Amino acid sequence: MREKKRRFRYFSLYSSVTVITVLILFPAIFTILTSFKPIREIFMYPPSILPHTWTIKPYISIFSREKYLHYFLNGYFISICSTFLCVVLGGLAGYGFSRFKLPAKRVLLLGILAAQMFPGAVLMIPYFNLSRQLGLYNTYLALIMIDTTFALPLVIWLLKSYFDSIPVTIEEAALIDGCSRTKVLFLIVAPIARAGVIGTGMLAFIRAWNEFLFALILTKGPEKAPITVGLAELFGQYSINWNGVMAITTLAVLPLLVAFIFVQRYVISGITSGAVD
Amino acid sequence: MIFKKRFFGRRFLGVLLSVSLVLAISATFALAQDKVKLTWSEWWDQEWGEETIDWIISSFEKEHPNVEVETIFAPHGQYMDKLLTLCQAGEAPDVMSMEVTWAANFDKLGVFEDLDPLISKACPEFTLGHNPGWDSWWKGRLIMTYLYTMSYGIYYNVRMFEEKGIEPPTNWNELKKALRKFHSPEEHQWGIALPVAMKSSAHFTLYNFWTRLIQAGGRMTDEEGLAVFNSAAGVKALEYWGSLLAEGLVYPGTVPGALAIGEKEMIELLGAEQVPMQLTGPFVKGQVVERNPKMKGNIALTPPFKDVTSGYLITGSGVSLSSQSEHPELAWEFLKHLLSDEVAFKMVKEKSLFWANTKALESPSIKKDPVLQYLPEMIADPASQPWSVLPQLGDLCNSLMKNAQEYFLGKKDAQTALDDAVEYWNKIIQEAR
Amino acid sequence: MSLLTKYKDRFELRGFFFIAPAIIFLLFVVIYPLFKVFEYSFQEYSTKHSFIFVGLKQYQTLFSDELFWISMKNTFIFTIGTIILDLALSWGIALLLNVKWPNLKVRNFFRGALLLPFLFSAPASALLWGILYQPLGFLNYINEQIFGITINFLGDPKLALFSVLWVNVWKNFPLIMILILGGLQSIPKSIYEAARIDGASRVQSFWHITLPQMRSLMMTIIVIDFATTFIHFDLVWTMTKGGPLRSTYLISFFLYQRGMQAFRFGYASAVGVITMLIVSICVATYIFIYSKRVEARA
Repeated sequence: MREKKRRFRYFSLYSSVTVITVLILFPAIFTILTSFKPIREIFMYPPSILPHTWTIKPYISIFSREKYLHYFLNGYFISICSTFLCVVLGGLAGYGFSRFKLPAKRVLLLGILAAQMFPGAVLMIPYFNLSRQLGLYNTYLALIMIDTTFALPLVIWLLKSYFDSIPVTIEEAALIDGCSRTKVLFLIVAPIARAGVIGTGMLAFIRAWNEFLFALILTKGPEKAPITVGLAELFGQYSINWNGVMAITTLAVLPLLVAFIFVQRYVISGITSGAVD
Repeated sequence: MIFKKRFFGRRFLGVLLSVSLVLAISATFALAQDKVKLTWSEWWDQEWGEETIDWIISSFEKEHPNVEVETIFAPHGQYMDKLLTLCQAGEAPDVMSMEVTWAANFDKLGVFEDLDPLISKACPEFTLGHNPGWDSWWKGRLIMTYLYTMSYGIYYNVRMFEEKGIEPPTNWNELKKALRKFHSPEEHQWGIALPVAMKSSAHFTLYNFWTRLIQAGGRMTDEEGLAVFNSAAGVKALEYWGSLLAEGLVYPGTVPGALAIGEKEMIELLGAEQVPMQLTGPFVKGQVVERNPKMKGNIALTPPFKDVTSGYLITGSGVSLSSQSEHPELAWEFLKHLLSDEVAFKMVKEKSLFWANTKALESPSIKKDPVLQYLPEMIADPASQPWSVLPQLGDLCNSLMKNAQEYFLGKKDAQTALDDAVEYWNKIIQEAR
Repeated sequence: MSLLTKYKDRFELRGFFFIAPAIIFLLFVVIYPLFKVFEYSFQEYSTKHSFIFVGLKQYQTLFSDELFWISMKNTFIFTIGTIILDLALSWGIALLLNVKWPNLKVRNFFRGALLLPFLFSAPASALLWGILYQPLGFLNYINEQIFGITINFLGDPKLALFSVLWVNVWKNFPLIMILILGGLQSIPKSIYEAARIDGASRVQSFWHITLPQMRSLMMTIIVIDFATTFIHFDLVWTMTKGGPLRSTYLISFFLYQRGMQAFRFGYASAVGVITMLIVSICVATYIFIYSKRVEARA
């Protein structure tokens, strides 16, 4: 009897999650399929899911152009650097905000959100001029710094929240034993907070990966620009290269998905105290 | 002993390599220093293809071997943002591609060189091929000149017309009749799609409203530059499109449905042969044939329409020269190169673009091209009007579109809609003075 | 006792060393642009690089512009709607993924697969859903076959805001789901077991154990979601540019179209400042209420 009940529970669990996943993922799969359709088929009626005519023309035009390789590599480089910077600065700051009684803590926490509260367009000119004055126009560093600027406040808030949820007792025990604060952070707290760190790392990475306006403004071309700029080139004045956009998106998204799935499995397996089942 | 020798050998090799590398780099750097750099900002990579852009540049560099032309590309949607940041920082490109929509704005930054002295003193070879109607004036200065012009007309799918045994329309009434003949909702077939989504507010303003307004005998702005399109002619123009929508003749048959269709979707529907007609410009041929090779030779332009007038709207995209350029003579040379016979003939032939060169426009290929053949007539018609430089034109079009949408949805009548739009237009126009 | 007070004093100083790098970085990169925006908001840009001081004129103008208020209304609806749907969807899926799964590999597969929408860029999502939302597109094809109706997702002024809202949620929620899942998994299982021994039902343990533990994380998520969504631009702009009938016109559009695209930089800066103030006030109020509730509970 209990066996039957358990099996029914598992069945309803699997089916509900499958249904949700299919509904959520359908547009993504649609994207991939559309990248193989000729454009005239996208606007046909009745609409098709699977391509009637498979075409790899968009992919050929991507692979045959060197600049897309540059766009992708630039994107990876900038995003990884920005993520690293965010996690390091944000991890330290999040820990600091969480564990220490600091004066004006609330004001500081709100204040760091400041740049995050302006629509990007109004910051366009100031940041362009700033990058020029620092001699950073058309450099990786400019983009890394911009991406970090926009992601860091969020990372700090999230990591502070994660650290808040980890009981202080373990650290206090280690401190009383004579361990230094930084050692506590790196050796004891970090492993426990790994889930949070990876989650916020993903946020920082995607924030940098999908940055468009400033990437366009602060770069001159495929030399330093990430893939978002490469994608925008397909939006013409009179028409859009629809299947090209889908193809680039597919090529952009799939490697990231694989990477994130891999990273996630690594994270969860590291948690010892917690609801690991 | 032997070990030492090998180690010495590797180090020596390493030093030699690095020295030669440094020399090579500085050599290329030195060579690069000799060349003069000219910057040209544009958005046409997607439309013309990179090979065409590269050809334009390399054909110029062949004539001027000490010059290197660097393009600054931004997609059309973000071109203004990119150019704005460059201009206000004092780094305006030497040659700037420009739209009439943005010209008044950029003039505010003081980046435009007055082209009048250059054009009026140019050699006959240039002036013979140049039509003053292609120049855009603002506040007494010639701030841009067209690279290509066009008018908007009804393009149709020849095969679909022949199948139904219908003659292509030659005036607005026949257009309506043809739309009725193509109208069959059960088969999900409509005769035309209109760009009435908010994202296509500029297209609706130009392709549909302004064109129909001129044909109805009206004007968009008067001699003082104030908006006057809420005239009887304007109401007639707006009500024409409203009647098409109300009768369900427009893809996809309902007004709310049509409000989701923009220019980018419109062109695909024509290319996918879902819709047999389109009110658009000659660039449609290149775009559509690329998507559907079967459409080659299958698109044609209807003969010029006539209502109260036979005039059309003359628009185009062009270039301006920077007033901050370090090489103004070279920039002017490049502009002349863009309008040269060589470039003009190629663009007319390959891209079906109506290049701003009178000699190219007389080429027989235009008369033979069913997509271009009537355009010279339409543009040269005495009643045809060029679109004017206006401030904040994107926002103005947006305001007109919003009012038109309210009319289409039955929330306002046509006269009120146009009155409200004119009120906003004139407020902005007067503020800009 | 004295040991602890000594620690407390030392905490203060050492804390600054931890937050200093981030604060210095942000100060360095943010202070100049912020200052410029504030400065410009009291000025007007006239010809040739010159700004004239006009006091509060820009603010007066924007408050008297009807479109400003329409944008604000739309933005609030958009933001709060996004937060609600984000949380609903993320909690639902996180809870499903957090129960005991017979096969961990399957669970991990789902958890990874559901990340996918988050990886899409804004223009790509806009284009993709634009195609799906077409009047004769795939979704309406299904609608027609099954229900016999057509829904004008992007053409009906009454529906458009919700249509784009849904796309924003679709793209946003995986991150929130992961954060919630991480939070759920960091609650020690021992607490649940103790409650079960005491006879608590599943609902009771959710209400009295899960929710309180997640409170701090939820506050952070809501604050972040609010701030990032309020200034939203790319996705909705590509889909509708504010139409139809300005029903999807957000405050960032107002800033961009009436400010930046019109080269009225002072005006745009004023709108930016107002936006920032509104977001700050909302966030500060929310945090204030939240901490009052926490204190009341303690």
